[in-house]
Amino acid sequence: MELASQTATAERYAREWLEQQTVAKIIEVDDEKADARKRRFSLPAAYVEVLVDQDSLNYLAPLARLVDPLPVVRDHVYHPDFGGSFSLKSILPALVPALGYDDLEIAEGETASRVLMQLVADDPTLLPAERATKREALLRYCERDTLAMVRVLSRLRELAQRT
Amino acid sequence: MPTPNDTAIETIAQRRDAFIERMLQSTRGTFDVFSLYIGVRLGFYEALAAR
Repeated sequence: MELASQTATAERYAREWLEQQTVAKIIEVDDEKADARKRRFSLPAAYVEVLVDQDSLNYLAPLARLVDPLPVVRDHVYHPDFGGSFSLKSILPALVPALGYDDLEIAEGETASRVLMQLVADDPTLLPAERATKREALLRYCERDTLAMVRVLSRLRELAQRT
Repeated sequence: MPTPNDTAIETIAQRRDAFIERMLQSTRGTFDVFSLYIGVRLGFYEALAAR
């Protein structure tokens, strides 16, 4: 089978996956009545961007590789500055000293959760201008959190290569 | 006319059904993600898109 040889996988494995993806309505079969070994499959044009186009903002394939790095760090990395905690805020200064939260208006998770609740619940005590400021501050916090994860990950890769 | 008690039972049944639906959807979603992972790692999607 074509796909199996293109991707150097077992034909049986590729076929099972193709059939499963078809049932899950992710890919399409040209002729479902054709013999199992002769069926042709295709990825709908509309899904190509989402699954294959790495430069698109709509590229969601990496979601499948989403993992929590906490166990990796907890089981393999330690620095006295962690102070017994493995939260991002504790490990970041030790692993990526250049990056912190001190310059941000919202600098830790608890405040972030509270502000998020205020915004989501449409807190009536919040003035429109305040609301906009808080939303912006929350976005900056989320941005920093994401950047911190990216930097921690590349630091972990560095450490893994060294040992 | 439904008594308050009937309404309470109905609400519980509705919430139960909504929860069942959510669990089933989540399970389907989990399979979507697993099979997506296989397709990405083995290059299946890329090969299909290149056709």
